[in-house]
Amino acid sequence: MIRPRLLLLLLAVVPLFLTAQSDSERYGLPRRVMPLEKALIRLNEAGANLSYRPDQLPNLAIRVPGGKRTLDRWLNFLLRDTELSYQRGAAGYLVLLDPNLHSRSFNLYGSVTDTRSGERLIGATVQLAGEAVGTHTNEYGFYTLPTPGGRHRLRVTYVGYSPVELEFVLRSDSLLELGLIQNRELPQIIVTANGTVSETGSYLETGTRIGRAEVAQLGGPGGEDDPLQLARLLPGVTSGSDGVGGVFIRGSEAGHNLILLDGVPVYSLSHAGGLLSIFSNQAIRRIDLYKDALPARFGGRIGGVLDVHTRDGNLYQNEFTIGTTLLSTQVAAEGPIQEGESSFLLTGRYFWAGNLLRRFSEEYKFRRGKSGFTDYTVYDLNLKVNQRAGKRGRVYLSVYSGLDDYANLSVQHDTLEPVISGETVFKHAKVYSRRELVQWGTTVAALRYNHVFNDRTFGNFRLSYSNLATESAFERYDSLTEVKNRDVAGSIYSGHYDSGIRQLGLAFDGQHTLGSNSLLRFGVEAATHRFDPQLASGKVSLETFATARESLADTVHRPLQLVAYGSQEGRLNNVHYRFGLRTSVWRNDGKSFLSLSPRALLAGPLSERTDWQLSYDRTVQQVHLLNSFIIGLPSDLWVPSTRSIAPATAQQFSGKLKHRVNAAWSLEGSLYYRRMRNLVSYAEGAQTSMSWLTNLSQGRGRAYGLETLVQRNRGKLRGWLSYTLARSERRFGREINQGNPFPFRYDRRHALNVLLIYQLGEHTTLTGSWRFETGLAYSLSTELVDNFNDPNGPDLPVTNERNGYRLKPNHRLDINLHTILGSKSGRFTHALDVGLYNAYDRHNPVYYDTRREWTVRDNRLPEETQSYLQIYIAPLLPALSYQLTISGSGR
Amino acid sequence: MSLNNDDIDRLVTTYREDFTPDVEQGLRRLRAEMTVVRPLPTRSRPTSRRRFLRFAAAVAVVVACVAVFFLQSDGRTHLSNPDQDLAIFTLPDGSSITLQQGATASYDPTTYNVSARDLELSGQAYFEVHPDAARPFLVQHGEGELRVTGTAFNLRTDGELMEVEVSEGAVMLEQHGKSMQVAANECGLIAPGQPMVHKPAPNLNHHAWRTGELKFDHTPIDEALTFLYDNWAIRCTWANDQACHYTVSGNYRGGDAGAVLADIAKLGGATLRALDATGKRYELSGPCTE
Repeated sequence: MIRPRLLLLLLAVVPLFLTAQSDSERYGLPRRVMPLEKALIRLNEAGANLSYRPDQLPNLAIRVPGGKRTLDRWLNFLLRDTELSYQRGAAGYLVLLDPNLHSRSFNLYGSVTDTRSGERLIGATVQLAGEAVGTHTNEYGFYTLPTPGGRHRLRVTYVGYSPVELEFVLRSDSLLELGLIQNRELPQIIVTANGTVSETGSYLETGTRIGRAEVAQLGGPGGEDDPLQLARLLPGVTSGSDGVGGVFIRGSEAGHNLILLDGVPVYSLSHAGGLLSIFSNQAIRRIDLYKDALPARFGGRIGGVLDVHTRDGNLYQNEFTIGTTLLSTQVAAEGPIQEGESSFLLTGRYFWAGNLLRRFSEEYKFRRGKSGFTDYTVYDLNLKVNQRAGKRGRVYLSVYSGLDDYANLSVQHDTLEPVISGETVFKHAKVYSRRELVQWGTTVAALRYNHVFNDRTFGNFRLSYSNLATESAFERYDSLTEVKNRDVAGSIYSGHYDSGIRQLGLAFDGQHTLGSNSLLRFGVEAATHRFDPQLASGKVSLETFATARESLADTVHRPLQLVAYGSQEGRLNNVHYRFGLRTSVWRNDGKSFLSLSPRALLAGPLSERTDWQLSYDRTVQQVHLLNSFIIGLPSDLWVPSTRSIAPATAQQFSGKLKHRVNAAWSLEGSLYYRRMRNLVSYAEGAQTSMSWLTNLSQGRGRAYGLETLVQRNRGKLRGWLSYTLARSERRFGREINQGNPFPFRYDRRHALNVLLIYQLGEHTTLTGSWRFETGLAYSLSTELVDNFNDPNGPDLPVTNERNGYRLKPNHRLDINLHTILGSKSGRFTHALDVGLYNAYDRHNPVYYDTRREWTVRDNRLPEETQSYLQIYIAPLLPALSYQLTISGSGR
Repeated sequence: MSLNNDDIDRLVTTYREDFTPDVEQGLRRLRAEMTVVRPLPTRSRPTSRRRFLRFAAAVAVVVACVAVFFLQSDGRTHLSNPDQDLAIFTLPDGSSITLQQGATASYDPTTYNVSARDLELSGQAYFEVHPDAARPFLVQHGEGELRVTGTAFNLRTDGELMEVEVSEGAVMLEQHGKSMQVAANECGLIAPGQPMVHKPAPNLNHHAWRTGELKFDHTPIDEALTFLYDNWAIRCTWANDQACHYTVSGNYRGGDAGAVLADIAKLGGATLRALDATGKRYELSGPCTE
């Protein structure tokens, strides 16, 4: 018993001794992968005195290197990737949560996807249940939510999907990939403005969402679903009759809209002059329409924004859809390339109605004593491929290509009644011919790479290509020939418009969460452009221009644009704010334009049911769309800002109040005032030049209005009624309208839109829409006079006042019955649409055509007269569409 | 040769029923070879110096308590431990009993080890019963009786309650004519007016007052507090009856119950407050951490 006695003697130094001993004692662990808890148990078995709460241990497998180490070293190693720490307790070592966990903030981040298809959901709400903390997924389905540590309940919601709630303990910045399941049985909710449900974060979502399902319910001409049909029912959004001329948002022009297809600017959005849009509902996931409060990432145009997102393609299941309407055949195929990793989507539309048109038009013209035909070819293709790139990235390739090719040829030979003057008999032969050729093709491609840098930083790199090539030509020939003497009287008038734009861009768009409720969005863009606008018209035959084109090579412009932007959003008490600034440099023709576009948005709740929003936007547009204003052909030319044409700018002040009456009904009212500078227009009647540059006039404009909306979101009958009172006017230099202000061509004083969707059955809806708009402000020319300055140029139309004539109002009723029939196995889904476009056959004028005629009256020599012909596009049209979707076996 | 607990139980049972001296000797040989479930302080070498210190102190106590051993007033032999941590006594049959502080045991020396070995216990004690199938070792308490022929176990009595936790072999608990076998690493409980309770006790935490070892494995906090009470009569309550619910895992050695309590309170983020200077009454209060 020597040792006990020795130890008793050492009693005085025991505390010190024990500490030193346990610090230096080494414990062994085997070399293998083991759960954290197992490793702690092993250490205890080896003699350590460790205690912990098993419920706090993360489910973590640790690759233990093996060997003997002191307890401190083991714990430092084992707890490295956890939020656990250790400390010396009274009876041993304690492994426990960071005591400051609740006071620390972490980031929850990831993406929200459709569980079935893997499609990323844009604008899904991610919020902490019962706490005033929430956010939305961005355009890439990505979210970041700053969250204090500890236990939380997370609620994820998205329209048309079953909400998901999950509970978790947050101990570190965490990647949380969320999946939602589509629920067709849910009561449908039309979301016209984000945030119909009052949610945190929704105050800064200023876009209006146009979803696929609503578009399908609305139908369209001939049965063609068209997202823009729905967009045009929104207050403040209008267009020419039957969509001709494009979309006009709050009194700005068609060329003022920023149209982004997967982030790439598109220069034309129309098929058939605007009757249909290039956006096939098969390929589109959603469109966000912004009228005001533009995020800083949008720029380069001074009007509204149409942010179009295409679908990704199903990641888990093959789907094949084939369908037809009265105008086109559509095919769509999508599915995984490698399940869960990559997928593709290919959609195509071919308008076969064009082939019928040629045959019918030949017959039609023959019956009217003419020869000739009308031919129209339209198709478009969308391709999207996406591939997961590592754990944190995804690569997307999207390509759109579409073409419109229109030709119209009419020749008419006629012999007028002989005129007897004394003994001479004058026999006149009348030859009339019309040639119109219009072709435009858009190609847009984007290669994007999304990367989650870390829990708070997300980035998107984009390489983009956008190309619009348009060509239009016309020739009008009217002649009267005295057969015997070969005296020719008459006119020939032709024009050739050609526009080529090519844009190649490189961009980075990033998002960084600064802290709770504070988000930074920033980016840089660089783009090179190539513009080759050609414009020629005159009293010559069309062939003249074809040769002249070669000599105009110097009209090519190659501007370079550099952009940087940043915005910060956050919240101060009850006021949500977003401040942004966009800077761009445009260099063309040896001159640089630097422009600053500040943006501001303030919004918040006024009371429990009422929200307010105030915004200011300054926008700059360096490319101009020149509209020809007499003929209705799409002879629009895109031209860049040059040494002599400054970029257009606009400022908009806007305010909005929204009141939720109850869960179903809401009221909305907006006021806006918009000022535009450096707008570009052709000088009066001057479509004469071989070079577009010399005959342009710059002016200013303003637009203001009141928009109101009553909306019912739930129930069997849903829809909205909107009324807009608006004014849009322009003022140019003396060369246009003598410097007097004149109304914008699409200045719609009153606009009333009604959309009603009635749920007939679970999968059947009956939709009716009616729209009424004040008629077009039109420059009606009373006569054509010779151009004295340019005898070879075309005759000039004489108008009393620019856009001084109001055409009769536009109104139209569309009805559509939409039903979906599914087989029990879910393999086959049929979608059927039956409807009427322009149900009461209203002839809404697009423009008036001037025609010259020769008539013989009272046996006198033929007299030349002018007549006007109201041109309209769409009479009463039936709409019929059928789609069959075959789903492969998936997971 | 390796044996698990079931093997031992089976062997022990066989031995009790068919006693021959050869079997007993064989069993002793067997015991010498096998690893005991838990080293007993009287047999095993201490694994840490602190434990060894405690053992040394215990040995000293045995000497101090010899006088207590022979105190008689009613013809019974009374064993008691009024002021020491542990007191180890050897009974006439060679069995040993370790009394916790405050515990007492008594037997009638005239009848003890004649046809049976009857003993009464008040408080808590650890028994190592010398094997003798002919003379069963019986502990009476309240409504229950504990019957054993040769084994090691911890027995705690508290009022009418009797709780046994067996570390070696097996014991029989009897109450109102019903009997229940409690094997090694099991715990049995007899409380008045209630059916007998039988539950596993893999960590032998009821031996902690003597061994100084507590082992928690996903143990709910209220159960952990119960062990502190059972071993050291430490009463710990939750302030305003607002208890936190969490589980703890871990090993404690050294038998410092106050320190263990401080540590498990800290794991739950609770605040520990001593209610008096005895070190036996504490109060825990939240907030409960996740």
